Amino acid sequence: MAGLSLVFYIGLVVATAVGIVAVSRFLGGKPLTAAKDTPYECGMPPVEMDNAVFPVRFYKTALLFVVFDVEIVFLFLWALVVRDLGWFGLVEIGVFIAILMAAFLFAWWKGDLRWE
Amino acid sequence: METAIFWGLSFCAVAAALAVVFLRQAVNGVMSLLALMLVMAGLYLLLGAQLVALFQLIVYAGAVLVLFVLVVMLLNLERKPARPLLYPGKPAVASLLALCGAGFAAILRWAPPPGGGPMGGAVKPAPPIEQLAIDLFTERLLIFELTSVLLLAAAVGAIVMSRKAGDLS
Amino acid sequence: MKAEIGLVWRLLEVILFFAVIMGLVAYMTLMERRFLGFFQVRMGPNRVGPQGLLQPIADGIKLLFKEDLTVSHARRFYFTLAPIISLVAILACFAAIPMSGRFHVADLSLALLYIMAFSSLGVYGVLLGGWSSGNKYSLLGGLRGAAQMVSYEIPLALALVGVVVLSGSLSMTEIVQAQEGRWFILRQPLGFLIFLTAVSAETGRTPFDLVECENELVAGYQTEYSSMKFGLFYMAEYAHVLLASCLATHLYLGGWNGPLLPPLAWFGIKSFLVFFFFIWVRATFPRLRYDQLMSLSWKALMPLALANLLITAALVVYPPFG
Repeated sequence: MAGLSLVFYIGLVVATAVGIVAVSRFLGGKPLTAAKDTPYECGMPPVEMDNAVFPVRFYKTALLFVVFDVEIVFLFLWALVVRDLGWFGLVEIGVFIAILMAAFLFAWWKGDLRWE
Repeated sequence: METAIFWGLSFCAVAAALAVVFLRQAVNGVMSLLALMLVMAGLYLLLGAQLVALFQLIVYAGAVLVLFVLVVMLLNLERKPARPLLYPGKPAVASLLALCGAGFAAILRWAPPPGGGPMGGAVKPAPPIEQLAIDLFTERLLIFELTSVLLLAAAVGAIVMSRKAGDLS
Repeated sequence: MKAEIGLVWRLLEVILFFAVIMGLVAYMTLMERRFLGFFQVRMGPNRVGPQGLLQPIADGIKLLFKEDLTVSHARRFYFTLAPIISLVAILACFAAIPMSGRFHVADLSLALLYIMAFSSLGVYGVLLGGWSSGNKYSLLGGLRGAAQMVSYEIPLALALVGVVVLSGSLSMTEIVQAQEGRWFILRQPLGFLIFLTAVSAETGRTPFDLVECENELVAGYQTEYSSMKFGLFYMAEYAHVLLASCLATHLYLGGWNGPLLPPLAWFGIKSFLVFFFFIWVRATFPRLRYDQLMSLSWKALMPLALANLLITAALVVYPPFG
């Protein structure tokens, strides 16, 4: 029952989002002038950006995020049973966090958390 | 009903997996992989493993693949020509498809009778999450702590490798 | 037969729930514009209908009839997909938010994980939208937005773990019930602050609206969007704020508990106050710089959230007062 209303709700959400876009395409019509097809660059003629290079920091940030996201998944499970585990749970999560903090501090030390 | 959903989802999974391998553009490949992850979450849900399904979404769909998409966008891979050598020719595609078809036929032939469903008999009800968590943090403690070492190695490795000699940033 | 009637009622209830959410999202845009107007000593939109009450409807109709622009070298499929992903990812989260003990889509036992799972999919909308537009402002906005969203997801999740430690459950209903004596804001004041900061960064609102920072990036990943595709991003943003208000109410402010008034009213009042707080912050603070934004998350909020979590756990295992 709960599963059914959940699936029904998500279906409703997807249908609404897709429906709005479809209706707007139907009602909105085509652009009036060809110039509207060019990318917006404050009125300048657009400059190509094929070889644009972006800082590798974005990648490192995402990678640290993956590491900590996995950690958080474990933390959620641990938080559920922390009462039952008692001091033992505190110690083991302490070790777990300490090992991951080493990665975090390494990144900090190497300057990967610095954006200027 | 469950059987129908199962076959529908598995068909989607196989289609998405094939798309990951055969689509030429990197972005399409990554997005097919995302679709595959979502379908896998659906399959887990069907098996009654809600926790695994949600972890699949959080870790794979919500984190690992974000990293992949980010890399594809940073490198602007799509404009570069696909490497012809690694791309399998038509006979290879055909034989692979044939192999998949044979595999499917074999599964259909020797799958357990419809009464049991494709999961082979009644699915065992999943244990309560608390039980699972206690199990993880007592009996499988070593594996749990080793996970953190693995994550540490991954993070340090990536930080070191993404740095050129003498690069400041 | 009885079962079928019950099922139909249940589905009608779900539709009503969805309609309420959409109505709230529409009228939150009006509330924000009116209140921002008052903060800046002007009237805000008040022409369409009494007190401007028909403004959201007029906006919706206007957006529907706008020309549907797609720049020529955009990747059309992903360009259309991105706003849909954004909106679906946020609206789907509401399935785990009960408005009162009974008015909900489903009482999920893993509600918090469900919300984390779906809200983390929203980052694809930002990334794909920025990348598929074929515009350098959009791409940079998308990358920045994605980096910002993933960076703040960690302190946000760590703050949520603090709540789970106290309640010992992931279900919204049980978390609310656990606060019947004492609201979690009293036991988690630091966690509440971290939650509010991280969640306003996640929603990309001032002072954290670096994603669409006009003076550097035109409109960020939304630059090339127009018509209702832009409308979907806009709705997703307000739905995200609504989600944040509901979560703050349920996790820290005692949910629908309260004297005299019915639960639904208490839930409404508390969520509105949290939403008003977000508007207030927007009207007050200037925007941060990008490097400040990233160091705030990684160097301040994350260590603080971890410390908060460990202290909370220690206090739960060894309660100081008995």
